[in-house]
Amino acid sequence: MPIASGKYSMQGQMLTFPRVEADGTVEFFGPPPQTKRSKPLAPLCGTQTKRKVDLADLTPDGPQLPERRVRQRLAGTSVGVMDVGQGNCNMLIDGEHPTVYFDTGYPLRFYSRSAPGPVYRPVPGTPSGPIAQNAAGNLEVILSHWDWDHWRLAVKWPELQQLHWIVPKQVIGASARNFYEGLPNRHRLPRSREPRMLNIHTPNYRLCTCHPGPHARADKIQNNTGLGMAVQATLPSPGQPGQRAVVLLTADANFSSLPVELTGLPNIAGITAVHHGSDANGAAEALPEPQEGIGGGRIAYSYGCGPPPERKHPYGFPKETAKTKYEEANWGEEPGTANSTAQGPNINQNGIVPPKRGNVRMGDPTALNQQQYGNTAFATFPPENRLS
Amino acid sequence: MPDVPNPEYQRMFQRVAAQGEAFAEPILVEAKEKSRFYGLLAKADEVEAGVWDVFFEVVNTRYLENVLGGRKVSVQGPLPHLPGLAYHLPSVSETNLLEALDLDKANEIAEGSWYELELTPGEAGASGELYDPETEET
Repeated sequence: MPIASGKYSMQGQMLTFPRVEADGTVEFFGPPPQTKRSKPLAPLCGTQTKRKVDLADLTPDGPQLPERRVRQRLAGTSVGVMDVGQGNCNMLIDGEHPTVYFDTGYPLRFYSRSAPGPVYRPVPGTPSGPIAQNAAGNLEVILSHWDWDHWRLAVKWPELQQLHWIVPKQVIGASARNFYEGLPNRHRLPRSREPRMLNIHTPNYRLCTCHPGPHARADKIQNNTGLGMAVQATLPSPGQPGQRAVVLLTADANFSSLPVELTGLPNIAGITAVHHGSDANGAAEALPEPQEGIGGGRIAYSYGCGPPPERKHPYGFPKETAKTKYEEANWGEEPGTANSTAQGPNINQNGIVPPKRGNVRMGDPTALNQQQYGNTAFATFPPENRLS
Repeated sequence: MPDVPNPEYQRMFQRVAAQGEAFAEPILVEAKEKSRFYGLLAKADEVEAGVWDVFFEVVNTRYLENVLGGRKVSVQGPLPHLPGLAYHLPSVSETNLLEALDLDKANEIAEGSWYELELTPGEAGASGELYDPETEET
């Protein structure tokens, strides 16, 4: 049945409002705040016999990933911050093989032309799309949170849905619920009342739940109740013998929403800019300290630019105020330590320097196995987009 | 060993299921009429001072009330495919947005909030694009 799409004006009445209780419990379906009018919409013809709907019924259910204590050494060597346009998609890499996706994002339709050609509108016979599986057959997806620009690549490229997915339990809508129901191999993780390390260490990452703290503002909750990750990459780490450099991936969550077991690590050498370089809700504050003696912390920004000549940045990301805050905390301050998917090292240099878009590689620059992955858009990392 | 389903029952269930097939796709939005939706505020970003980009996942109220609200007993099992639509306002003034959503202040514009939305064809006030995300531009 066709849909009549087009321009529509809206009037709305809030039904539920997220909040965090004093004990840290996240109530995703709390009552609306008192407003100046608080009267329901007038009934439309034919809708007077309204039935009660529990919107929590849409929340991801199903099997929860069991936690168990497994002590293993992290084995990753680099992080790919993949160019998907205005969205987020990080790919953990061990040597020449990908091991884990942290998000598989893609822009909303209005910003889809910020995606690179090989992902947005591939030409048959040319390298295109994401890596759908690795050589070992164990590539998996960790979803940071349910914002559309963090999972819709798996709608555009459905083969990603066949991977093992680990997702947070958050509020989702009808389309996200459809997507979740269609994942054949999925686990969800529990909510928590505080930032917490999860006992599901794998050789490739350490995972945590994020939490914005008691009484957090409602507009901070969705971005700060998902999952964060610590991974290893071959970056400078002159600390204790044998110590390896850590990269923290938070997607849209603030660093203050991660457990101190991660943000207090002494060997953090790389981060991704929070929320594509947003400066709202403390996104560029409470930053961890980069390890000393490595020539400055490495930072990668994931954002998109629209088509020329305007090359407009969706949402205005990254905000220049946020970039300044990162630099003041020694993330991207030193030459060669900041890079981006949309403009390479020329972040926010609009109209002056031709953009150098592409996948950003943080750590070991070993080329991905071309025989396995050479037909995809995720196997190529421009040299100028390297953070090492 | 599970019982083999009775073919008569199978045929009956298939006939009952067929009655619902007309509702398996997103409900047509009549372009000249108001329509009512449940909408999850899935993304909200202040692009510049006083200008917002907001995105709702919406689903027709009548459909959802019949699928979720109409259940008299708790049924364990997957939900049917929901006729979800996308409603995106890429540039809306804060004044218009607060007015349209009956909010007092900007920090009440919170991702993860559910609204009942009434959408009217046109571009007055807070307006945006309604589309089927299953047919996103490729």
